[in-house]
Amino acid sequence: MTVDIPSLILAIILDFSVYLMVVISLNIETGLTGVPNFGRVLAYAGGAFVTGAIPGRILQLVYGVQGDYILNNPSVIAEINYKLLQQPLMALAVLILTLILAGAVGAALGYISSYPALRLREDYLGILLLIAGTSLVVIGITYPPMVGGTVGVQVPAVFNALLGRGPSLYYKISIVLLSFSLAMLLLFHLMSNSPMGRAFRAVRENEDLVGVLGRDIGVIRGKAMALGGFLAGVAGSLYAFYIGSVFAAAFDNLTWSFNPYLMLVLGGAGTSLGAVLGALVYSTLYHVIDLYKQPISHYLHFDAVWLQYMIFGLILTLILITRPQGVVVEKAKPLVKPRSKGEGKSSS
Amino acid sequence: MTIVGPNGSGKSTFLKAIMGLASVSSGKILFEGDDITKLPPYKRSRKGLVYVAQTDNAFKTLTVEENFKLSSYDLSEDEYKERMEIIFTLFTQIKDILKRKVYQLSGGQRQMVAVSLALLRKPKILLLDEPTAQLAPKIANEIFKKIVEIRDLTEVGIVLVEQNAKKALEIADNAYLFTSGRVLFKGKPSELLSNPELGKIFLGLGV
Amino acid sequence: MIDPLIINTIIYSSILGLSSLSLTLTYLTTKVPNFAQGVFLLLGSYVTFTVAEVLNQNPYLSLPIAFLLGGAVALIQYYGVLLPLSTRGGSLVTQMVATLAFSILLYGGLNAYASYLDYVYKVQSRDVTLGFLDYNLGGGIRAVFLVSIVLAAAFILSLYLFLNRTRLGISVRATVENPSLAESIGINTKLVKAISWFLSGGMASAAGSLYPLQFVFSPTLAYSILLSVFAGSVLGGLMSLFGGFIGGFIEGFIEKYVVTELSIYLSPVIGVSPFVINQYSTLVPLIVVAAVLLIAPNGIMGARVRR
Repeated sequence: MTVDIPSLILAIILDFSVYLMVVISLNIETGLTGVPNFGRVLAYAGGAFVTGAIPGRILQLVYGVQGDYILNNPSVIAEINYKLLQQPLMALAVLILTLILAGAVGAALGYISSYPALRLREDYLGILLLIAGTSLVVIGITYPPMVGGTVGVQVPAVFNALLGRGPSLYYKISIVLLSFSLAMLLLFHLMSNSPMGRAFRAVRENEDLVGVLGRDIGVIRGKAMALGGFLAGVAGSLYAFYIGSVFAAAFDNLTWSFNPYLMLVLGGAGTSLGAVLGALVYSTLYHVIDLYKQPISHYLHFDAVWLQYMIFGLILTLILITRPQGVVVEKAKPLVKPRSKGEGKSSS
Repeated sequence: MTIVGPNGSGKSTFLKAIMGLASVSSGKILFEGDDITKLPPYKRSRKGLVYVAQTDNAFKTLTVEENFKLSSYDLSEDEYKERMEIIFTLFTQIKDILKRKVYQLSGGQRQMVAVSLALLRKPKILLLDEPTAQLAPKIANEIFKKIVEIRDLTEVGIVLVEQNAKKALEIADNAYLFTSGRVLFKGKPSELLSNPELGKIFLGLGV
Repeated sequence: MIDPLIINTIIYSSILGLSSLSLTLTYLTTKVPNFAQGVFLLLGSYVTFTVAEVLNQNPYLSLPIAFLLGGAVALIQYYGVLLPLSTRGGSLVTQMVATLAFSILLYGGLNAYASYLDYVYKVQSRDVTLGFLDYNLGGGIRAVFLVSIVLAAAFILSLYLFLNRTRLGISVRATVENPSLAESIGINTKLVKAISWFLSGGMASAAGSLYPLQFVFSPTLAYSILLSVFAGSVLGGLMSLFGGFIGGFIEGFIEKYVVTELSIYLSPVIGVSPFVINQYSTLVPLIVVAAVLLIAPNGIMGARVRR
């Protein structure tokens, strides 16, 4: 059996890029700031739903397309895409504006989520965030006007319009996604070593001390979760554009809250390399097993995808028992930048 | 044996370590010739080493009787009666509060229950961690008297850790002075009491 | 003739009550909320499925099997995951994540099993209900209605007797209140915790074994019902076992009965079909938890717990 390596790598890169963005967003809140956010899907779905609900409607208005956006969605979108193909600049504008809006919505959702963090102990907080995570998704499923309820909506094909059609489209998309994820990685890395990053870590290490030193923990956490939410919202939006549609029920806790959390833990919370490693291991494991799905399923007498779940669960369980900090261990960084000669006092 | 010393000198931690409730980084703990360093606390308890904490030393949501029953599960009927005799002799009040829940009792009564719980374990060595802390002086004196009674009545070895140094040293056979986690002095309590320097610096005696 | 809504509600609430009770049990003894609780429910469901649909036996035979199997798996989770982690000083959140990781492992396993049944026995093992295999008692009532009530009552009574009249049970209460004191007076707290986990997994699986006899189930149940189980425990206060049951029961009552009645009432008012309003019952756990944490963080039983 010939193995299609390029397709395998493409599939891995696409998944990896998306997951990397989600894991980085989580890394800011959970890795750096220590908030156990088991409901990551909230901001992520927020960004995706914005993408499903807004750009299509706006383009429909702009191009004067008839029909109900939700009920006649396929034909409306088809007409929009036709027009969009001839106007790549419009597509670019739509992409950028939607990303910004999605990020803003994600940030708002993240910021709201930070309120309970002030008053709750970690176990209660984890439970609350977990339960709150799917609240938006429930509304998405039951309120059709938002993103088509149980039928879903298609999303204007901006990537098509910008990158052209043809067999290499998904390669180009993978490069776009990869670039965004690496940009977020860089952002994380820079932020992590900045005063803000140090403040986040201080809140994680010793809340009371931070309070005693005169800084508002609520504000710091709020910033962290807003930032994390922003990145998650942008990621969700990119994902929606890449898939080409938004189907509310697909945004479940397991795929977008739990698995990313576990990827983060696997790689090592708080580090950039850790986020990369976690997302990479998961994506590779998934797609390698998927590649050999037929023979494996035939041998095991059950669908091979469940083998992936079991292996992932087992790896995580073992890592947590033997090396709970993850593969890449965060180096202890000083909370205050050491003074060097001639430098003024730095804030932290 | 009494251990005294200033706050933070490690007296309580020392007792907890003997019990297995605090971790030991080096060295060994020997009890009757056996190395118990790796033994979990409940096994040390069954060997006869019993620790009485300063607070939270009885189950508040249980009645006194339930507390006693828990502590005496491995005693036979006769042994239980025998032990209860000793307890009633020492603490006559206990008969009246058997059915009360511990959180309803006064501080002094709780200490009585706590020590009784320990006595039910048929202890060979009793580790008492600041039993008179948070108690009024009159009741504290009663407690010290009781400690002596226990020693006379049951021949159990007692390791007493106290802030209230003077009284604690008066009733002891041997004395240790801890400071910053080290043993600064060990010997006869009278020596410690009569040494003005040590007394002043570490115990606030005669100040 | 009993209203079918009442029947549904009571069965669901009994199952949920037992599940929240079991969650509270492991929370009280080991301080960790178990993310795998929903998977234990699913495990029980698949035991019933296997016994009734695959092996064609009396579905209620699955009760003791589910209890023992669930208990055994819970012991594996305790000894294999939780205990090593806590001995090495894992933080609370780390332990929570460990239960999550273990739940993924179990979830994959159960799904693999369902898939296996599909491949080998050609039985549809997702989105199924086994109500048709139940015993009809007339008047629109099937056996599962009675069994769920009896099971809940039986577990609660047994637990009460266990915790108040047996030495081991009093040891459990003692360990919950003050683990180091319990050790000091000779209680093997590790064993006590293991027994609690066994009971917790067993009860959750036993409760879960009844679920398919009334409702449609599918593997996603594991994580969807988890939210309701947590909400029930939080409502009950996470401080007493019986509070856990009551909290779970009320949570179920709200999700089924209250939402349905409300949907019938609201429907003409806001012009939306009752069916659609009912779909929003998945938001109930969030509303309940948010309300509890804002108004009475110790839950409904909280005010009665003295310290």
